[in-house]
Amino acid sequence: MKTGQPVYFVHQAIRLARSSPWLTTISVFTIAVALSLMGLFAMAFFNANEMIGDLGASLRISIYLDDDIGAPQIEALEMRVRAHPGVTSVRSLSPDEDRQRNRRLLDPKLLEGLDEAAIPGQPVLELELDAELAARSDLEELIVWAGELEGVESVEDVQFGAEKLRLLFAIVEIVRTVGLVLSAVLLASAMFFVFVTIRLAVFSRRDEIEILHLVGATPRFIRLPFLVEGALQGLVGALVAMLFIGGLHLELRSLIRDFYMLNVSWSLLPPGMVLWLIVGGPAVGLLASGLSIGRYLKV
Amino acid sequence: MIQLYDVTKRYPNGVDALRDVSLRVREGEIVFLTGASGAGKSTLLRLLLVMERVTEGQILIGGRNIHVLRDASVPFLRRNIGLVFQDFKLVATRSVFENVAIAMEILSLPRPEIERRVMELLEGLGLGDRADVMPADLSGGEQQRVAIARALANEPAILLADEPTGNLDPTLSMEIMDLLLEVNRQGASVIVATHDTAIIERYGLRTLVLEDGRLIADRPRVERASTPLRATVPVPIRSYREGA
Repeated sequence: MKTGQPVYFVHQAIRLARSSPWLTTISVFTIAVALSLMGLFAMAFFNANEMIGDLGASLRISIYLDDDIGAPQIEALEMRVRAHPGVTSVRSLSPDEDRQRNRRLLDPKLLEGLDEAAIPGQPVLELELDAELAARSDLEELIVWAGELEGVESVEDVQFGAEKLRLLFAIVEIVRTVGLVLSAVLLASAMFFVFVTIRLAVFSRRDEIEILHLVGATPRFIRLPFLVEGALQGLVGALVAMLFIGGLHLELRSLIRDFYMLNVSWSLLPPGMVLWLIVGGPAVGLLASGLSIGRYLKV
Repeated sequence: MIQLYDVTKRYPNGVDALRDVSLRVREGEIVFLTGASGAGKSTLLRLLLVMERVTEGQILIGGRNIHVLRDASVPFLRRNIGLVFQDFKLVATRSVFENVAIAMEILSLPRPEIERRVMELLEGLGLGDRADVMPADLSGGEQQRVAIARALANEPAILLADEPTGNLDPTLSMEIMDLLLEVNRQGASVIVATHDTAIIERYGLRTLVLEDGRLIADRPRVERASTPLRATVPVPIRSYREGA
C-alpha cells in the first residue's frame, strides 16, 4: 500500500472510526434513519403518482339514464357531453347492452338459475376522458361538470371515479409535504451527528495533527482521512437505509398479498432515486465532515 | 544555510519577541541558541518553521527567502527541517514504529520502503527491539531518541532542537547531545535551543545568546582538547544518510 493513495486514506479513516465506535455508530444510524424515511416517502410518493397515472388513464364517466328516455333526448345529451374538450369518445349503451355488460362483471355461479330480467340494465352513456386530465385543476373542473350533469332531466345517476383520484391527490400532497419537512429535519440531525463525530475526532487528534503539520504534511493529507471518514459514514448509512427500504417493501408486499389477497404491483424505487440515495449518503457525510474540519485544520 | 537579516517579530499586543536579530548558521554547523525564558529562542525556531511570519526583516533558508513563501509551499520547506522538542511530541496512540513512519507517510512512500527505512533508523538509534512499543512505555531518553529518529526520517538538511534535554537527567542529556553531534557530523546544520548552561559549557559549541529578543552575543566554538565532544555514553547511531 502506497501512502497518499486512496486506499491509504480509507485505511486511516477506518482507524479514526474505530477509535470512537459509539459516535460513529450513532452517526451511521442517524444517516440511515434519515435516508430510510426519505426513501420511504419517496417510495410512497412514487407509487401514489403511478396509481394516479393509472387511474387517470382509465378515468371515465357513466351517465345512467331513465328507462323511459327517448332517442332524441339521448342524442341531445350526447351532443352536449361531446362538446366538452376533456371527452374523447361517447358510447351509448341500450338497456340490453348494459345488462350484458353487468352479466360479465358478475360471478357466473351467482347467475345460475337467475332470470335474465333480474340483472339490472338501463340506458347508459359511457364517456371516455383524456388521460391528461389527471392534472388536478382539470379534475376539479370535471367533478363540477359531472355534478351539473346529475341535474339534467332524465339523468338518473352520474358515476365518476374521481373521488378516489381526489383522495390520492390529497395523500400525495401530504406525503410530499410531511416527507420534505421530516427529511430536512432528519438530514440536518444526521449532518449534526457527523459534524460532532468528526469534530471530536479532530479534537482528540490535535496532537497528531500538530505533529503532522510540523513534519510537513500538506493540509490535504491531514484533512482527507477525516473527509473520507464522513463519506464512509454516509455510505454505510445509505446502504443500511437501502436494505431497510428493500426489506420493508418485500414485507409489506407479502403482507398485502397474504391478508388482503391483492396482487399489488408496487415499485420499490425508480433507479434514479436509488442512485440519489446512494450518492446522497456520502455527500451528506462529506459535507458535514468538511464543515467540521473547515476552520480547525489550518496550516 | 540559515541567514537572518534584521529580523523583528512583534505580536499584536505590541510586544517584540525578537528585535533586529541578524545571524548566520553555515551548512553543516552546530550552534547553541541560549537565553532566559522569554528571550526569544522558541520564537526564532517558530519563525524558521514558518509557524509564524516575521514582522520585519528577512530569513533565508538554503538561499530561499521564506518571508515570501506561499502557505501552500510551507509543508515542503518543513520536510527539510527535522524537529526535536523538550516534550518529545510523540503520538500517544501510535507505536514507536508508526511515530517514525509519520514523517515518511506524508511523502507517499511505498509501505515496504517505509518499513525498511524506519527499522534502519530505529536499529541505528538502538531502538530496534522497541518498534512495537507505545511511547508511554518508554523511558524519557528512549522517547527523545524516537523523536530524533522521526526528525531524521526524511534526511533533513537542518535539525532544530528546542530544549531537547529539558526533561532528561544529566546522563541522558549527554546521550541526546552526543546524538545531535553525530547528526551534525553527518552533514546536517543543527540549532540546539537550550538554557542549560552546564550542557553549553561542557560542549563548548558556538553559542548565540538572546536577551529580551535581542542577539547580545555570538560566542565562537571553544576548542578544548580535554572536553570530549562525544562518547561519554555509547552513541548507537549509524549514518542515517547511508540508509537512504
